Formats: sequence, C-alpha cells, structure tokens
Amino acid sequence: MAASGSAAKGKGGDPGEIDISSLSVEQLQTLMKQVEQELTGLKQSYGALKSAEQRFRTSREAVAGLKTTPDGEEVLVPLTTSLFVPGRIKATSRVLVDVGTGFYVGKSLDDASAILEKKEKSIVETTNSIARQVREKEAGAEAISQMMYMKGQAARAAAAGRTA
Amino acid sequence: MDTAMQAMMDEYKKVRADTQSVVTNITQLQSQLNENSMVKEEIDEVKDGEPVYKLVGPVLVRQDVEEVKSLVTRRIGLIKSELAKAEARAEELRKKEDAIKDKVMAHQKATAASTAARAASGSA
Repeated sequence: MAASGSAAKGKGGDPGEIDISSLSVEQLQTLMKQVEQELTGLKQSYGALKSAEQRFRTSREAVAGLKTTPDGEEVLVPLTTSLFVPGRIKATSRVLVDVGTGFYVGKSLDDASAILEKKEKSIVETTNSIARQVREKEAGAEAISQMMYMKGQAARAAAAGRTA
Repeated sequence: MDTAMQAMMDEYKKVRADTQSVVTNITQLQSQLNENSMVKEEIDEVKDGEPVYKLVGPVLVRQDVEEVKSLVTRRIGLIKSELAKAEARAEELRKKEDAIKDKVMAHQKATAASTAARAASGSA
C-alpha cells in the first residue's frame, strides 16, 4: 500500500486513495482515528531516528577529535555523567566500531569515520522519507476533518430544512 | 446468542489473539534480519589485519573473521526460515478467520430462516 501518490489532485487527495466524500461521518471518524494512530507511530519512529542520527554524529565528531589528539594526551575519563578521573590517552590511531549484535571491528580513524558517515546518511534518508509520509498523512487527516465538518454542516442544514 | 454462536465467537477471538502474537513475532524477526544483514555487510568489508571482537558479557573476545562471517550467514539463514514459518502461520490463521466468518454468516442465515419459518407457521 506504499503508493507514493502524487496527491496533487485537489484537496480530496487522500494518500489512502479513498474517495472520502463517499464515506459516512462514522466511517470518517474511524478513518480519522486510524490515520491519527499511524501518525503517532510515524512520529515516534521519526524521533527515534533523529536521536540515532545525533548519536552517529557525536561519534563522528569524537573520531575527528581523536585524529588531532597526540598519544599520551591528558584526558578526563567520565565514570558517570558528573564524575571524571584524569587519564592518559593511548593508541589514538585505532578505534573499535560497534557493527551490531555484539560484534566490534577495530578500524583506522578514517575507516571508522567513513562507516559512521555512511550510517548517518542512510538514517537521514529514512528520516526524510518518514517526514514525507508524516506530511502526507497530515494532509489526509486535514482532508478528513474538513469533510467531517462539511458533512456535519450539510446534516444540520437538512435538519433545519425539515423543521422549517 | 445461542451456544453455537458463542463457541464460534470464542474461536474467532482466539484466532485474532493468535494472529496478533504471530504478527508481533514477524516484526521482531524482520528487525532481527535487518540488524544481522547490516552486521554481515560490515563484516564482509573487514580488511586483512582488522581485528574483530565479540562482546561476551562485559568482555570483548577476539574472533576469527571467517568464523564470524559463517556465523552471521548461518544466523541470517535461521532467521529467514523462522520468518517463513511465521508467515505461513499468519496465512493459516487468515484462512481460519475467513472460515469462521463464513460459518458465522451461514449460521446467522440458518437461524434467521428457522425463526422466519416458525413465525410463518405460528401465524398460520
């Protein structure tokens, strides 16, 4: 169902490709709930990916920093977020890269940085695609709420016509 | 609601619950497959002389690259077969659900027909 629909066909362009004007108010409400649920899920993934992207960026900055650090430089090693002990850095030319499922590979700084950049890029791509989906869903939700409002107006007008 | 109907509803609920757990299982397996594929990609690109470690508890243990490769490949195969099994199970449950729906519909039709017949004979 991942139709990358070009929803440029008027304001009725719901990404679900359903003609929402043919639905009853109850059906619209159900659809709205569903769309909202999907939106929450997408936004959650978006947030998670954003924080992952940030983590990769921080790692990359750390690797870049290590590049200009001479062997034996004094550093403060964090034991907790607020407690540090002084130490000396050793073997600054190689780092361990976590490749997932408990495996680590020793890499040169340049290679490590390349891997981090690659991962970061792929995350950015996914994030962008999710952002696009969120926008589409939001447009769909907007169309649904508008249609619900119009249906409500029409129902009220019909009721007023009957009593008059 | 009569007992036959009640039984069918219970069965339906059970199938739905089973479907839910199978679907969760499938998503889990898919994310595992995804993660392992990414590991495989990186391991395949390990150059000569680059050490590979495995985290065992709090310790990093040096691993043979070829061994890790075959391990990850095996793991991916295992996950794929598990995934195929889970998907087959999901398909099976879908069919079961449809069958119950048909049964319920047939049952409703039958009861409606019998009550109509009774009403007709009663008024006659």
